[in-house]
Amino acid sequence: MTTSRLSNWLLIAGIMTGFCAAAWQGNLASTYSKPDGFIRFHQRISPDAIFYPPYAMLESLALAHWQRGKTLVIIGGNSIMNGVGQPKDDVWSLRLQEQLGDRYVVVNLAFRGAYPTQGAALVAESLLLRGYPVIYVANTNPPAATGRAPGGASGYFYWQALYQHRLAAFPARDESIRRWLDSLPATERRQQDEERLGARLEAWFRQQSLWHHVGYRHFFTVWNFILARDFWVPHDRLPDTEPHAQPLADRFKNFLPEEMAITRGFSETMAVPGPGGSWQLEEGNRQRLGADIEASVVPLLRPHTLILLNKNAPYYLDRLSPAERARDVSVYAACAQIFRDHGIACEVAGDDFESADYIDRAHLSAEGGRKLAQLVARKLKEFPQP
Amino acid sequence: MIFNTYWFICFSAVFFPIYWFLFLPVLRRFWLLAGCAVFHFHFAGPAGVLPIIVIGLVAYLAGLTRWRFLCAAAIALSVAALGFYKYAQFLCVDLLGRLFPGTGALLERQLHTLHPIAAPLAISFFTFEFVHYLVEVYRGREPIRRPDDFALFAVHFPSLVAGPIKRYQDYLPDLRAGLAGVTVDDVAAGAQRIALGLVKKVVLADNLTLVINFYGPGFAGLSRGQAWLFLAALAARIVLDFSGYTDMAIGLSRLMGIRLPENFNYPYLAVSLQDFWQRWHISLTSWIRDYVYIPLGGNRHGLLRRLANGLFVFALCGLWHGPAWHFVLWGLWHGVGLVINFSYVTLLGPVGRALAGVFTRLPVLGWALTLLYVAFGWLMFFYEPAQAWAMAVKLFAFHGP
Repeated sequence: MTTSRLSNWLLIAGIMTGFCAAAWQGNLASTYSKPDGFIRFHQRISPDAIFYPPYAMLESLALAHWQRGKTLVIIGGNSIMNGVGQPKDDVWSLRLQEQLGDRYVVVNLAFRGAYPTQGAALVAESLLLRGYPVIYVANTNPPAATGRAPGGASGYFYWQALYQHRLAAFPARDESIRRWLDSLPATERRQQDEERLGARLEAWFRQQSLWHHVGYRHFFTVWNFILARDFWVPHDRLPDTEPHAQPLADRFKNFLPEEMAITRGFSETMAVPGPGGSWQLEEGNRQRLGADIEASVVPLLRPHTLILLNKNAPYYLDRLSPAERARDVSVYAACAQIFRDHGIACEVAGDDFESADYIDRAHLSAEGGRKLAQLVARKLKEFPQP
Repeated sequence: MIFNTYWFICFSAVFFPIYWFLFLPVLRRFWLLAGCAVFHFHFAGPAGVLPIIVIGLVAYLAGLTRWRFLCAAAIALSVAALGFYKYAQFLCVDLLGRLFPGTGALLERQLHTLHPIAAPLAISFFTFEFVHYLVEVYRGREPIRRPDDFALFAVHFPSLVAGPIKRYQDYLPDLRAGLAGVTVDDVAAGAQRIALGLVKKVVLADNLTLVINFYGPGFAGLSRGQAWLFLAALAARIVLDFSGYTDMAIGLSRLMGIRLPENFNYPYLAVSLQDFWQRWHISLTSWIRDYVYIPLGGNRHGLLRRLANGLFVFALCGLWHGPAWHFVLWGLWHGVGLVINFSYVTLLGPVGRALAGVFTRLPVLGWALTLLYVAFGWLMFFYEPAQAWAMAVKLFAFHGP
């Protein structure tokens, strides 16, 4: 055998060995890899910065926080629950931990733009299946309802959890997702198929776990505008830089017409006039929300879940007409009742909040976070101990 | 990008090991054919596959008869299909619509009822390969007899999406050699080439794409230095992206023992525009030379005809990249550059000869000028003419940030 041929054999053997070693390291990483001193998935370790934490990392984080004899409070939902608007030392979930005391451990797994049925919800479902004492807290708003587990920036968690056999059997969810996939345009369908295939491979080879572990500890490879020149920096060196809220006088200044349109949109298409100048939830919306809950919130999780319906900031609500305000109140109340009717605790968050509690239309300041923590702590203490 | 999808990774994990362990060439042949069919169907879908099957079948049968009339008719069909799927909208709306608004609007309405949403995958590459085949048969070369040979030539999956554009007289012997046996040297060379392509495409070009997409809309607000860096990123991105893809295509084919033609040869080291086009997208350049430029008369009928031919083929080359005016403009930019490149010595007399002497003695000067010329061309390639012009003005403006 010539030297050249021998080196070619060695190269091929090296590629195969390298692949096996990478899969082995990926499998190891999936069992322990998680952010240090974790408070939340701040923007620089989130899909916004093209850092897509694998599902296994979420579970590792939850389990690392949990201690025997304590109830694990998993926070899911969107940027409001993530604590956007609150500096890292003032994130509302830290205040919730203080309010709840030592019998609970709180872990904030919320992501910007996530639905209450994505990411953290799947971790809660998986841990409940395995007998852990879990309470799940997430948020939504009337038009967004429960969303669906796959799709969007946080949808990949569902496929990964599914193929890692972390989820309960739930035919209604399977059927709803199948119908949704069938309804997608070809390009989006291909994107979902690709995400799904990646999740199948992740269950075996843990390529995502390895890549994100390397990205977190050693170096990152994808440029993004949030990190710009620091894109390659190991993400464990990237601090949570969420700023303090602006002075109250400077808030709510931008995009007033657009924000007012969004605020109106929360109830505009949801309600119809009822008798005596009242408002009631339009029947189609009532049925849609009920059907969404039935097809997306696994029955196992419902008794352990608290859903918050976040209200918009008073700055905008106060600018609605009295009829619009009444419509808003009735839509929130009706939606909360639908959640309760399906066995899910639900609270409207923001009824007694003030302008200073918000940094913009939706996100809470540190003060607002403290109020939210008080509300959630009060409700969670009413939950039966798992 | 198809080669770094999970689907393609799974496809490769099944396809290549079986290909290697099928020792009989006939079995390998059918496995390769099946692989090409699955690949094409997956990425093109039924609506993308059917037109290619029809045009391919016509090209194959026409070639088989060796009747020149039929070959010419099949060439016309291939070109018409390309025109219909890729350029009908452009011709009706952007060309006819501007000249004759009434007719353009009428044609556009008709088009919407007939036209599919997207052209079949890689129809430009298919058309160029079919036209090449039919022209060669028309000129008297032996046609491909075996339908499976023709099918493999047409849908050889590594080169399906972004070339290189193959020549059947080179491809078929390489195909037979690959089917007869794959050596470890082939596999090792293929793997190295794929790795090189992946680094160029995924690590470098894709990151540059993100940078360009982010800073592009705010180009007017960049400082002069940043604007020049942006231009450099634009130029680097396209060569890394395209040559990276070609590296992967060549590497994947080599894993089967089949060699594909090279498509790039360090184009940014070119010392003249003529040199650049002998190094950039070589398979397209040679195709246009052989099947458009030379039949039009090439260099044979005096300087003026040569220059006109050059401008025409480069406008066509630009249009091949996409149905939009800025691609035509990019082609003409290069056409004009080549006209100058070819003619300045003759037209400028002693001054031209002196200039040529300077370029010979200082090749770095030719290299810098060529690189600058090509880089400015990329502004036209990627942006609408008005925006490209504004960007170019900013790069050379003597005032401003």
